[in-house]
Amino acid sequence: MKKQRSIEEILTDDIELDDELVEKISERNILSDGKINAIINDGLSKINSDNQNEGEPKIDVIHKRRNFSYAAVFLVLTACLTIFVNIIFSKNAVPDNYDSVSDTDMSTETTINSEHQIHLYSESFHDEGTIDTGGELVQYITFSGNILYVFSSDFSFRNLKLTAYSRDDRKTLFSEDIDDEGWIKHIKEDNGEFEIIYQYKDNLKSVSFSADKKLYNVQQSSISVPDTHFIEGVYDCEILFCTEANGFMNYDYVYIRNDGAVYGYKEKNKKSYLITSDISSENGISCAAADRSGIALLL
Amino acid sequence: MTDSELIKLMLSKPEEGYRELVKAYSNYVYAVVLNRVRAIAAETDVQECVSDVFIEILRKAHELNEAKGTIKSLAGTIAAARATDLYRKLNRTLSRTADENELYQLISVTDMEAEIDRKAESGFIWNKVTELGSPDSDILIMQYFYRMKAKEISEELGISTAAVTKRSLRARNKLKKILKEGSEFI
Repeated sequence: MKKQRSIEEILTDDIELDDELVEKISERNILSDGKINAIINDGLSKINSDNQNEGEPKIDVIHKRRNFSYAAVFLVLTACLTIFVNIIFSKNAVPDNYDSVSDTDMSTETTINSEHQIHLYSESFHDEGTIDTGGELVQYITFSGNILYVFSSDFSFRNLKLTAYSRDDRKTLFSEDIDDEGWIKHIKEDNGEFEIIYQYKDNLKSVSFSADKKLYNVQQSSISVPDTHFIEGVYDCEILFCTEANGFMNYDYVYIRNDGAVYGYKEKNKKSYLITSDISSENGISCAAADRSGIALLL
Repeated sequence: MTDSELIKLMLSKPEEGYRELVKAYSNYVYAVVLNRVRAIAAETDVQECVSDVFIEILRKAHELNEAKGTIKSLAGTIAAARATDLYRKLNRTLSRTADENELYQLISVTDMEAEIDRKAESGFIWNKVTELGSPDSDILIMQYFYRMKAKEISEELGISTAAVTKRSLRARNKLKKILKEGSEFI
């Protein structure tokens, strides 16, 4: 028989509440002015400190003129930061974690952020190496045989691009521009023929290509995007990503929870199995692909 | 202030824009972050995470426009992601048992069911808390969600500490009564 809990036990339980409920709680506007001001001050001092650490040239000037007001200093620094960010963004290759940009990278080239590294693992979760995607926004990854296909874009979802990497030596096999913009929703694969379904504003589009890199047939149509895989018994947690296992460790699906743990799921017995809880990253896992011989996670 | 006004302000006067942004969405962002990390994070961690979320929004200000969605939805998404990062970071610093790291560990179905029951139960009760009305809802939310002490609540509401304690007890009794009438849990 289920053990009954007291009201106090339930209220002190640290279990995560649903988003809707959290929103409802937040609408009570409980935070005191003192706490809100503390958040504001903390943020302002962090922005100033970040700018100083990044070695902005303006900082020297500011240090010499200490009679500047705090607000003026902040405005100058933020303006510099905005200009800097705009310049970098115009090159379509900025990592969205600005904190990780080093001084050298700022002036010379695009930084490769760990968020854009794809880690390959064998079936036994032996690390098989990393693919750097060059700082672009990776939207989707999928395997076909010995090739890992990576679909990326810039950070405004423009310039969709397909790059194929060899799984053996992780070298680039080819790269193809899709010459469109959007957010990839789903990829269907059938005997080396791929169909990418992507969304731009309210339009769904599809582009097909064969595994021999030839892109063709871009069309805009009313495509029904397949529903997210429903996995019975896993609806109580946030799943960052779910992919068909394609034979990986005999699971039907592989999914990654918000706590960073990787699970396999078998449809036959509707059970989830923890594959590993050791794969986690500061930036979260946003993409995964699996097949019989291994798994790739975008960290 | 509308989203487009706020975006304009963040771009033209970042400091002022940042202040307005925090004022408008701090309750929401704080609640999203706290909800995810309250089991392991100290208040300073939560506060730092919340200010990081707003810095990130400020830095994305030039990318924002209403067609891409509301600032609130962006704030919610970033807050959830940063809270998850914080959770992982703090979790890694806590000692993990060997079992937790072991490969191929089977999650028992019973555990999973218990977890689902717990979540449903908590969701049900917290929904009822929000329906209690002021000041009962506020007191319970401050006490149990925000983990505020009776003294802090009394200062916030401008009533005595004894009154806070009494009202909290009364609110919980009210809750018990409501739940006894229609709940499957209590």
